Amino acid sequence: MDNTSTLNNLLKLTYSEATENERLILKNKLINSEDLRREFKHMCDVKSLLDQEFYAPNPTSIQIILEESQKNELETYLD
Amino acid sequence: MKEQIKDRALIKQYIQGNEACLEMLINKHKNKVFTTIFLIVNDRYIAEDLFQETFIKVIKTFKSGKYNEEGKFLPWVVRIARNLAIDHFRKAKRMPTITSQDGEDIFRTFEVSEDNREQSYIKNQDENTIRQIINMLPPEQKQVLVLRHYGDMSFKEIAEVTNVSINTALGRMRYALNNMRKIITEKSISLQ
Repeated sequence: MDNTSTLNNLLKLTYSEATENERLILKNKLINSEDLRREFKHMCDVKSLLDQEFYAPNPTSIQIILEESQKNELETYLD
Repeated sequence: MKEQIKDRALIKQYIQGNEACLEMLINKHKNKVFTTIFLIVNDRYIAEDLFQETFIKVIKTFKSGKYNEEGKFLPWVVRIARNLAIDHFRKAKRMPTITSQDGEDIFRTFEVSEDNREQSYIKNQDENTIRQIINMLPPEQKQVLVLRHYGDMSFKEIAEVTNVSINTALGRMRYALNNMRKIITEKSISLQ
């Protein structure tokens, strides 16, 4: 199986953090290794699954923040 | 990079007095920030409080002129949120024990009811939610996964805030993804 550094770079590639040079090296390794291609697919699959999990705050929270911002603005003028 | 410029423009206009820009900025990032907080504290009500506290701190930083434009907005907000969550846990740990007439710790009772509420919330949803799987991960793996995936922090930034090397942060994330895949396979959840 591929070494740790290659797997770390593959993870960076999954999260668009790989440098140009790392991308080029990985491209060649991916062409030549089925194991590495499978690993890359696994990483991408779990990443897509995580993308489905998002929670939204209650609109009241947003309202409280916006009111706080306006309050601060008024306090600034009072100073 | 384009996103960074957009955020910067919104912040600049907000500081100049355009309140609508703050709303746009919050709406743009609210789900990522809230999900990060919620996954850290695992309680929707505490997450709402910390979400508000986080953005109020953001506002104060903007208005005091202390915001550093060089960094990316979202990871900066997530760092504030994470620190507030850590403070919250510290305070909760320091909370004094108050006993009721029958000798029971009041805060312990509260804790139990929180747990029950959480459990019923989970039961109302699909038995195998992604959140449940994330919560099954070892804490250090969960932390990297949440900060990277939902908080948009780079592995380098995560390494800095968690005081580990970048290779350790990358390793923890790889183990987190591998463990998630194993759990998903065991529970036969579709990856599509």
